[in-house]
Amino acid sequence: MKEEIYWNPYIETLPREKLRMLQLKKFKRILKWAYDNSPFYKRYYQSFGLEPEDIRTFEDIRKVPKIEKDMLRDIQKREPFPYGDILAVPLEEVVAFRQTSGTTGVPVYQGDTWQDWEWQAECWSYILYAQTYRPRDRVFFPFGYNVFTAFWNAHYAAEKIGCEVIPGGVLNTEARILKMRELKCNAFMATPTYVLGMGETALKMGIDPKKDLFIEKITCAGEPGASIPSTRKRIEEIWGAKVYDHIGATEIGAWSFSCPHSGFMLHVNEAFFLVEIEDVETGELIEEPGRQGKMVVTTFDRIAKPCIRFDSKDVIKWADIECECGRTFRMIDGGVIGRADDITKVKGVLLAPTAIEEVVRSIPELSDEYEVIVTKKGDIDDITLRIEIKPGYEKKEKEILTRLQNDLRIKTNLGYNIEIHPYGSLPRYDVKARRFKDLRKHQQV
Amino acid sequence: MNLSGERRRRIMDERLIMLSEKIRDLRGISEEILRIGGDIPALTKNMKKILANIKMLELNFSDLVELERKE
Repeated sequence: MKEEIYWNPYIETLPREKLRMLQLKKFKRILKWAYDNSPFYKRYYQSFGLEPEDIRTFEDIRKVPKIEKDMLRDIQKREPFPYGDILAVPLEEVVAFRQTSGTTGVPVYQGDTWQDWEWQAECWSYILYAQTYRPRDRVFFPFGYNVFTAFWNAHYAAEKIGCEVIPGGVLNTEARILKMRELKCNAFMATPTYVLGMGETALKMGIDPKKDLFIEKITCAGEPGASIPSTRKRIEEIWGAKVYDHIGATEIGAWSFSCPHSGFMLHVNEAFFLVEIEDVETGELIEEPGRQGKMVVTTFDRIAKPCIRFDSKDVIKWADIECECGRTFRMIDGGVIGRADDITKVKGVLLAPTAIEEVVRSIPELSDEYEVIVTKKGDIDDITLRIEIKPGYEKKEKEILTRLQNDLRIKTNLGYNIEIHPYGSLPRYDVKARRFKDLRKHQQV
Repeated sequence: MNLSGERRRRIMDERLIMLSEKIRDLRGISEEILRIGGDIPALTKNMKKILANIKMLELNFSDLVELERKE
C-alpha cells in the first residue's frame, strides 16, 4: 500500500476557495467563543462597538481590532491568577501552564485545556509528518522540559505519529551527544544556535556528527536560522542531515513549516491559522508576494486563551510559488525575516539582524557566533560587529576582514567596526540567542 | 480536473461524509457515557481525553463536510 504523504490529505489539498471558506467559518466561530466566554475580549470588542455578528465576509475580518503582547502582559495582572480575564474557560479546566521565553520583556503566561494541549500536538503532527517523521524514527529531544513551550508539543506529536521519543531533558550537551550515539537516534529538534553548538561540542569530544552519529533529519525552531541559507548550509555540513524549519510561538501555536520540497519557503497551516501580512508603517494589507510586512495571526481552535488578530511583530513575506508537495497552503518566503521592533534604522538605513547572520555564516573561516552592538556616538549611530575566527585561520585575518566588510556593505549598505574576539569567548546560547543589542535607547535615558 | 481526478475527489467526498457521520456517533456515545457515569473520576477524566481527541477528528474531517453542506 502506498504510504500517505500527508497527515490529512483532505485538509492539506483542499482547493484554495474552500480553504478560504473554512477560514472564515473558523474565524467567526472563535470570535463568538471569545466574545461569549472571555471577559477581556468582550470588553475590548465592545469598546470598539464590535459584535461577532458584524463579521460576515472575509473582508470584515480586518474590522476586528488587533491585540498585542503588551496587552497580554497587562491582562495578567487581573484575576484569575495568573492568566487574567482573557481566559475563556473556568480556571479548573486549565491543565497545562507554559510561558513565553521573555526575549522581548515580561513573559506571557499560557494556560491550556486538555483539548488545547491535544490541538497543539495536532498542529505539530502536520509539521512532523510533512518533514518525513514516521514510526521507524528514533527522535531525540535535547531541551530543558521546563516552563518554556519549546518542543513539548513536538514531543507529543512525535509520539502520536508513532516515533520512538527520547527525552534529553536535564542532560548536558556532552551527555546528550553520547546518548544520541548510544541509541543511534536518527532525528532531533533544537534551535539552530543549539544545533550548531552541539556540533561544535561533538567535534571537541572527538565525535564527528556526520560520521559517528546517525542523524538524518533535524527540525529547527525558535530562531530564523534554518531559513537563512548560510546557517542551514553550516548545519547540513556539520551534521550531514536534512534540515527543516518550523515557526511557532507560545501564544499562537505551531503555524508554519518547511517540507522536503519547499527549500527556503515555509507552508502556513491555513486550516488552523489565519495569517495576514500588514505594511509595518501604514497597516495596509499585503497580498502580493515579495513585499515584507508584519504578521497578524489568528489561532482558530485554541479555546482557553484565544489568540485573535495578534500583532506578532514578526516580519514575513508571501512567496509566489506552489510547492511540489501538492499542499495548497500558501507559503512564506524565507521564514521570519526579522521583528518589526528589531528591524531598525541605523545611520538612516533599515537593518534586519538576519542579514548580518547571513553574511557572517557564509564565511567559512568565521565561527558560528557573533554579536552586533548598536550605539550612538554624539548624534551618529555606531555599529560594531564582534566575531571569532576559527582556530587555524588566524593568519588569514586581513583577507577575512576585507571579505566581511565588503559582503556586509553589499548586503546591508552599512559600514561596521569589526572586533575580533578569541575563539570560544563570545556567549554560547542553549535557547534563543540574543546577538543583536541596540543600546541607543539606554543611552538616551 | 481530469476524469480520474474528479472520480478520486468524489470517492474522497463520499468517504469524508461517512467519516463525519461516524465521528458524530462517537461524540454522541461519549457524551452519553459521561452522563451515565458523570461523578466517577476514572470515567469523567478519561472521557475528557476521549472527547478532546474526538474534537481533533471534528477539526480534521467534520468541519469540511459542514463546509460542503453550506455551499
